[in-house]
Amino acid sequence: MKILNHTLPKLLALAIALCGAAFAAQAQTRYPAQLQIDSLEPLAARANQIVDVNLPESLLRLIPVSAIKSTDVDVKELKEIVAGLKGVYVKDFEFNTEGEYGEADIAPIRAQLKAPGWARFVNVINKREHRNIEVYLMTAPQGARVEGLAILSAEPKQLTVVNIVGIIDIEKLAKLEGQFGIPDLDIETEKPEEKKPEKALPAATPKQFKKP
Amino acid sequence: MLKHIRRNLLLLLLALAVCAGTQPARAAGSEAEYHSVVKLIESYYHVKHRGVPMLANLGLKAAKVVSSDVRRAMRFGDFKLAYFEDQDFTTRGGFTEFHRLLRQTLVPAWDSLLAVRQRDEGQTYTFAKPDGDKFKVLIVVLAQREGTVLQVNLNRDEFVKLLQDPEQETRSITDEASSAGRDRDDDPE
Repeated sequence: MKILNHTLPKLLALAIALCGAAFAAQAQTRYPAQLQIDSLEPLAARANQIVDVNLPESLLRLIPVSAIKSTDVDVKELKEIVAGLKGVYVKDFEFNTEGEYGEADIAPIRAQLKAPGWARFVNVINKREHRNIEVYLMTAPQGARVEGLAILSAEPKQLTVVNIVGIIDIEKLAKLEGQFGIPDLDIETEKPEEKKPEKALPAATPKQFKKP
Repeated sequence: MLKHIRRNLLLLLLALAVCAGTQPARAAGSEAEYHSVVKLIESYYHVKHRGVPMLANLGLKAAKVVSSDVRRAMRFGDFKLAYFEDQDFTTRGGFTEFHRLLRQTLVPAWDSLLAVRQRDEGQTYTFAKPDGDKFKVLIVVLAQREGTVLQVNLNRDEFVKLLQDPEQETRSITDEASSAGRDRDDDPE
C-alpha cells in the first residue's frame, strides 16, 4: 500500500509529462521566418481566385531528397535547396478588376516584415507591367546565413506572397520557381548589373529580375 | 491512506483521459475523417444521399453519393471516392466558411497542402498525412454542379511528385481516380 502511495504521484507526473510531450509533438514548430500569411485571408472575400500552398516542415521532412526528380532544373541543386527547407508557404490572390486591394490590405504582412531579422533585399518596380516585387530576407542574428525569405509580388489584379523558411542559398532561389507551388516570378540568377539591393547583406548576392 | 491513494489514482486516470482526449483527430482513422468530410459537404451544402431508384423514377437526376473502395493496378493503390452529381454548390455563397470547417475537420491530423478557391469554377482542397511507408492524400473538389471527395494512398515517389507540383498533381490524381471510380459506381452507400 505504501509503495502504491509513493508510485502513484510519480505515475501522475509521468502522465502529465507524456501529455505535454504529445502536445508539443502535435504543435507545428513556428520559426521566426515563418510569416502568418493567413493574415491576408480577409482579402479572400474580394478575390476571384485564391491559391494557398502549404508545405510545412512536417510534410517537407517526409520527402526523401533522393526521390526528387525534375526535368526543368538541376536536380542536384534542387536537392541541396530542399535539404535546408523548413517550410514553403504561398498565397496568391487574383482579382477581377484593378484596385480591389490596397496597401492597407498588405499591411499585416508588412508589419511582420518589420520584425527583427527581416530586411528588404531587393525591390523591383516594373512600371510597364505595373508590377512591384519585393524580396525580404531573414538572417541569423550575426547575419551569417539566410534563414527565411519572403516575396511580395503586387500587380494591379494579382497579389502573391511567397514565404520560404529554412536555410536558403539565395543564389539558387530561381531553382525553386515552379517547384512546390512557388509561382514563376521571373527571377533570374545571372545578371550582376541592373538594380542594386536596397540593403546589401553579407551572406547573399542580390537577385535580379527579368526585364519584360 | 486509502483515501489518498484513491485520489491520486483518480487524478492519474483523469490526466490520461485528458491526454487521450486531446488526440482524437490523430487517433481516429482516416476512414472516419473521409466520412466526416463527406458528411460536412452534405450538411453544409444541403446535399443529401437519397434513394437513387426513387429519384430515378421521378425522372430526376440522382443526388448521388457513391463510395468505391476499389483496388486497381493504378499508380495509387486503394482509394475511396464519393461524388455528388447535379448538385448546387453555389447556394452558400462564399467559400471561406466551408474552408474553415473543412480545416477544422481535418487539421491537425492532416496537413493542408493545397487550397484553390475560384469564385466561378469552384474549390479544390488537398490534405496529406503519412501512413507507414505510404502517404494518404485526401482531395475535395467542389465545382458549381458537382463534387468529389477522394482519398488515395500514394507511394513515396508519387507523393514527392504531388509536393513538387501540388496543383497539377491534384488535378491529375482526381481525374484518374474519378474516371476509374465512376466506372464502378454500382456500390452506393
